[in-house]
Amino acid sequence: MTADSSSAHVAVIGGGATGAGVAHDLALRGIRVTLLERGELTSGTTGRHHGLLHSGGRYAVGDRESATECIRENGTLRSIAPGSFEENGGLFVALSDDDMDYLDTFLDACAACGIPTIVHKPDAALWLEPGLNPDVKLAVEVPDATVDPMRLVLRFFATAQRNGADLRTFTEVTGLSWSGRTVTGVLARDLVTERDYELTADLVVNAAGPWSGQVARLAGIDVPMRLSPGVLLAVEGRFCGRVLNRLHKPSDGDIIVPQRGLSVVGTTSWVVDDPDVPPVPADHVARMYAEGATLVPALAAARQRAAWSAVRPLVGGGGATTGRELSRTFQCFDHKPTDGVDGLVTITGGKATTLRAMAQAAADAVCAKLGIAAPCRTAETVLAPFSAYYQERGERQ
Amino acid sequence: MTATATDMSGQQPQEGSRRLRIARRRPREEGTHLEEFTVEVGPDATLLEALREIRSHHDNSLTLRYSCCHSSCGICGMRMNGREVLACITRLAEAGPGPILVEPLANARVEHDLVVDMRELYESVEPAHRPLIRQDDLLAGLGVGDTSPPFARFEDCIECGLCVSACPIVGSDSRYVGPAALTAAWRSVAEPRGADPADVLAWVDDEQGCWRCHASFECAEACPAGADPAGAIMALRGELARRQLARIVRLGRRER
Amino acid sequence: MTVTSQAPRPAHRRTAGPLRAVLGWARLRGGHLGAAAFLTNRVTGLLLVGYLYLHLGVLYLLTEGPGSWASVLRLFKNPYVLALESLLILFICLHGLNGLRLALVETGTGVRHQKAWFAAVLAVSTGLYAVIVLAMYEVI
Repeated sequence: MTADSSSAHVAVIGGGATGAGVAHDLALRGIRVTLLERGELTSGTTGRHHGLLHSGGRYAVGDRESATECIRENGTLRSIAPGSFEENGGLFVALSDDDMDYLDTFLDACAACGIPTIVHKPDAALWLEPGLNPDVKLAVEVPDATVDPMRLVLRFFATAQRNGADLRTFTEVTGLSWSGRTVTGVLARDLVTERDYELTADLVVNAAGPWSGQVARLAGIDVPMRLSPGVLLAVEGRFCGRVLNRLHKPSDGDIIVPQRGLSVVGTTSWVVDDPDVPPVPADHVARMYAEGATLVPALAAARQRAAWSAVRPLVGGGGATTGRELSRTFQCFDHKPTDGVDGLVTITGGKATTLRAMAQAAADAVCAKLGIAAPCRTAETVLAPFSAYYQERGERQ
Repeated sequence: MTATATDMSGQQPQEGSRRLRIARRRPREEGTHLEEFTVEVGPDATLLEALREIRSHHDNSLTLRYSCCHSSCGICGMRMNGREVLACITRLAEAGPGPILVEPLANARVEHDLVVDMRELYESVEPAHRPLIRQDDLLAGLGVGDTSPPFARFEDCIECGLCVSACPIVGSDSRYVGPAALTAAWRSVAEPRGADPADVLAWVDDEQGCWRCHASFECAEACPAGADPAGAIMALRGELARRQLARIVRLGRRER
Repeated sequence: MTVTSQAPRPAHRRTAGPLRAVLGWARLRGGHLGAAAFLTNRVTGLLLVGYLYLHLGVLYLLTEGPGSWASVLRLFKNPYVLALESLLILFICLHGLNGLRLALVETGTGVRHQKAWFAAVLAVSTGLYAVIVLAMYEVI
């Protein structure tokens, strides 16, 4: 017998892209959702990412699964969130002979993943992007786009809120409530009123990104994760109209994403244990300038607006040292079969471009556990404007 | 970085540390009180880094908004020593020596601590048709005469509310629509994208619309995104003045 | 989308009284010529209006006959009072020339150069004031 979705209550821990996607998907299926975030929404990794809506070109050679997910979700996001992207495409730029050697592999891999490509000769590339390094040998155009990291995700939250989700910001999860080996809810602390309370739920979803490990540990579970921060640099001046990538194996500082009047160069990759306040090593910033300048020479003299770091929550563990070798796909852990803990599901990994697909997998798992047969409709549902989140919020209880 | 709370007896802070006096407020509480923290900082530390340090390692009940950390989302707006800033790109060093006063934005209802109600800002921008995307072809680092095909991009305005906080007219008259709304209105007029700008112009052509501004240019000074609210307001007036003159000229021609 | 011709009124803000209005001016971040112009215009405006009342008051004394008029003239020949009155020239120049700047800038002309305009207003006003005062005291 399938349960009625409206009688179920799911608690989602984490106010980033993952939590947003899951809250939206579940709310759309008629499930009552309460989301808990210890800061402001998107204040974790989500708000800080590069702002690149991936075509998947970057992963086509080394991570086919990821690339195929990206190109599919690239199209879906454009249709459900119109107006949230700078839709100018992107270029993979070949500057050296090594880059040119990579070309055929790259084009074949893109074709295999369903990523459309257009090859531009140097003069065409320079006409498209006059700021490009004049030694450009070739440029491959792909359907990359710029996205505003916070505003896109706020659209998911705004829609979930419209569908009845209760989004509780500045609320920290301090523990879980139990009945035997089943999680029956969360123990929460409202950081504004400094009030502790218990919130019961039929299922708890751990969508805390880099903090998923900490949340899982509240249940005595060890989720195999590697935390990999990267440094990003924003400089004043828009040096390119579209996204620029270096045509080679993924490496440091090989992407420039223009955002409004700024250019964001990124990124680097290393591994840490603590997801809070990752450092911003000065040599990484210098490397961003240097690498960015190989693509766009004028960038070397650009003024720094900001340099920051964000932590990627990568799935898997053991053996990885730079973070780049691990898969960028996502995983959903039902802790009942793996750890003997019922009532708790962890969804982690992933990237901003695939947030909707991640959420679909998680929501499907949630519904299966709750015995609810409601189909996913997020791929066809146009999202509310992000300002609706602020305009339609109720008063804090 | 490390943080400790101290009393405000004016002890000398150590080398490399800064004192922050932060306005704290809880909902349903009358008034605000200042709480002081001492933070060990590097020379380039931003206000946001200091506040996150306090939040992570000393008092996690200190509530503030932040997201992108590079002046793109606009939600970390606050006042540092009375000046409107985005915390993520403002170095503590800009505050000069001595304790730093950190307050939420002005001219908006404070929800708690440094978090203000953004509803009004978004509601004020609604009648301007909320322009979000624009056409552009201005690339930095290029000489005059270089041409590049136009590209679509997000509008400069990141709806941070610094202009509204800085405006002395908003500070003294609650009916003025404010610089943020008028900047959006100008963008709708300058780049209509198929819509008719006449209704936006009719909306701003009001004593509480674009004519209420008294040219203090505080908004343009405060704007971190180069949206030039003052320029937008004057451009709206210029457009309205031109249309009015044209009407008068046409009237004159008809009568002859 | 419905558009009202009257600007929407924000829900929570109270209408300000005169004190709050003046305090609103005092809250300027300062440090830039635009704010300096704004403040200068208001201060000179208030002072000029104040002077106008003074002027009307003095003219009224004309109706009181030659005796009271003579005592007023004696007051105005006081060098300190003359110096204060000469400030009038500075205020009129500042307010008037800034007014011209505003007439242009506030209808969209030369907005980008508004700071330079005000620098010119300051220069011309102080220059003119200096020349007139020096002429008054017969230095030039």
